[in-house]
Amino acid sequence: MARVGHAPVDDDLHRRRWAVLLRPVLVLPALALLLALVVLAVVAAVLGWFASLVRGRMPLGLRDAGAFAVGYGGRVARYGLLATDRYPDSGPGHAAAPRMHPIAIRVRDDLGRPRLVVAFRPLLAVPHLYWLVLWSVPALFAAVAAWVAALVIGRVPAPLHRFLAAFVRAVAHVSAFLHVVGRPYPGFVGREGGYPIDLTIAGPARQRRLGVLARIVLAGPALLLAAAYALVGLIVALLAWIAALVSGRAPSGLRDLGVSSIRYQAQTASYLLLLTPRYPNSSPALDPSGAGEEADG
Amino acid sequence: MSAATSRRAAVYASLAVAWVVAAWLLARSVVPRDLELPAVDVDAVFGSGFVARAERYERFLYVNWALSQVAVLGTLAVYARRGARLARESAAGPIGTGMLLGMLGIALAWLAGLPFSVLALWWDRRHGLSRVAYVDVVLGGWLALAGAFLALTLGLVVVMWLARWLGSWWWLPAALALGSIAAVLVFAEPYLATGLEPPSDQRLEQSYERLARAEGVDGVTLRVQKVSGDTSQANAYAFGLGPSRRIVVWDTLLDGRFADGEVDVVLAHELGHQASHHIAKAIGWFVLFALPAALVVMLVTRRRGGMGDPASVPLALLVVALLALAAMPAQNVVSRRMESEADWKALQTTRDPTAARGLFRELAVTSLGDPSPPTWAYVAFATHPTLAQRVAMADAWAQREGR
Repeated sequence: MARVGHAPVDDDLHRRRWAVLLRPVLVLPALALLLALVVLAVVAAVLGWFASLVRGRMPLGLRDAGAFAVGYGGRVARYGLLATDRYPDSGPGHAAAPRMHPIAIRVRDDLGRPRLVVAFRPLLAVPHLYWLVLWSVPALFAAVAAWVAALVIGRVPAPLHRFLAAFVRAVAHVSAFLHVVGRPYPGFVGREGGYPIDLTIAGPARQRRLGVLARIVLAGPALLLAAAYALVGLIVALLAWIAALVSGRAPSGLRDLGVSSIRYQAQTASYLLLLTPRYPNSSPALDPSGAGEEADG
Repeated sequence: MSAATSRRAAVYASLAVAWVVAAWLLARSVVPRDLELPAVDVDAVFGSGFVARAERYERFLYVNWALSQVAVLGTLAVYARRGARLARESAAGPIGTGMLLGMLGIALAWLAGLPFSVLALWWDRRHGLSRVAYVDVVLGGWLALAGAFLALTLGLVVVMWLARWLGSWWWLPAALALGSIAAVLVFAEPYLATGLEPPSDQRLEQSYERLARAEGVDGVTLRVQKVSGDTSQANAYAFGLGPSRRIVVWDTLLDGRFADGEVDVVLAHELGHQASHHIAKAIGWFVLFALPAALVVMLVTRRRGGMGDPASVPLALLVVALLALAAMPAQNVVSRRMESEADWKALQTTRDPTAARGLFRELAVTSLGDPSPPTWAYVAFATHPTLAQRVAMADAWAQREGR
């Protein structure tokens, strides 16, 4: 690929006429995703501004979130302005993790999506959604118990940790199905290894009592970013649903971005529910091995 | 005969006796046994031109219904043969996989019936009976599947769990459990219903309270449902159980086309349903129908590993659809008996057979209902007595009361 100034440009000047004719329409899905990524980037920038003021250093994950949105914006602009014929890749890319995050996501799924299961996917998930609402009641009590226990003994007791981990995992499995990120119909119990888009959650770790005491306050910024990631996930789900309905496959870029969204929300929930003392990793990049992610530092 | 076979035969015989006794108890009615309905000259009462138009209107719907049944049952038959392959799309364990296969079967049946739903809507719109948009049938139907999926999966969880636990005897507790689920859903339905408003008409409220007192009904709320944007047809219904009992009248019944006395007959009819505990009895009938149906499903699916195996679910769906079709005439008999009882109670309460006759004539006009459909259609579809029969009952009541 050549560069004009600092911008990469396509060497191939051939353009398919129908794709050019429909370009104003074809670019719309990419623009919708870009809009969600801009929200993500703005939230990341605001949080990064505070963090940089306090620590004199931009957190790596927040920098990556913003950089990814800017990069995607460039790709959308190049496509929309006919600088290239290639549709913008929405994949967040991969980056090796120097430090494993205790809440990691594994992807062992293919991209095939049978149309029948796609067409009714939001409705097929309805029993799961009711089930998760029911499960959230004891999970809430378990979280309170875990909080008290962690304040007293400095760690979450293993049975409570297992119960809450299963809940977070079940939510991730259902979320993956609902967002067309995962192919098969998920189970109901959040069993580890039970779904091709799976969370590995490390066992209970020692936690500083001050961090436990102020967990809800500390989780505030992560919750903000999780909301932005949820918006990205929603747009990913909508676009992947349409694409899979038409082609019978989920686009790999959208699938990977959906994985990033689910991972961040799972890490935020895990932090809030005291499954880990480690702050969520806000970078959208996935671990190349699919085995673990870098902490935000 | 082995001891096990004798035991099984004894259980079946006891169940059959219990079934008959329960059916007899549920079928009791306050309509006098010796009531003879006088002949009604349909052309004279409803007008020969109207009757011919109503017959034409309904004939199309009969054909459309028959074709939709062929499409739906054909789809389910293909699904029963091939649907088990979709189990590979599940990571949910046997019961979860059964749920997925059940929901996909219902979704396919809905897709197969969709063109006929659209066609029926087109026919209703052509006759000025409906103003529903075509997109609402598609999108609304798609969304309404969520409720069907939820009810189906609840049922499948119970059935599959019992089948895995009890083996071939699952059908017996399953029928009772399904009845309990139905009762819970019927109880919850009024609390989940939207678009129901308290009546704004004081006369309506006063009439309702007077009629409720006369029928000895207490604690049943009256609500008005706004449907005039979608249809010109008039209707009312009773639903709920215990403290959730409601009576709902469509606003199309209150738009001036029906006289006050006729509206009172409708209110008294619906109160009659509540006074006679018809909704609780309908749940009882559901259990009575579910018992033999579950037995048949158990016998048919045995060769595929039984209902504990998700591969049996597509076949079970086909069997249930066929049984539901076969049971329609019997269910209609039960329904018509309850409707007759509610009509009788309405006549006893309002003591106004003229208003009742006027109501049934007007209902025929507003719904373009054939007052006296062919016998086969009556047996297959009629959940209510024919409008001619209802007019005849009003006449019979008047004769008995010397009016």
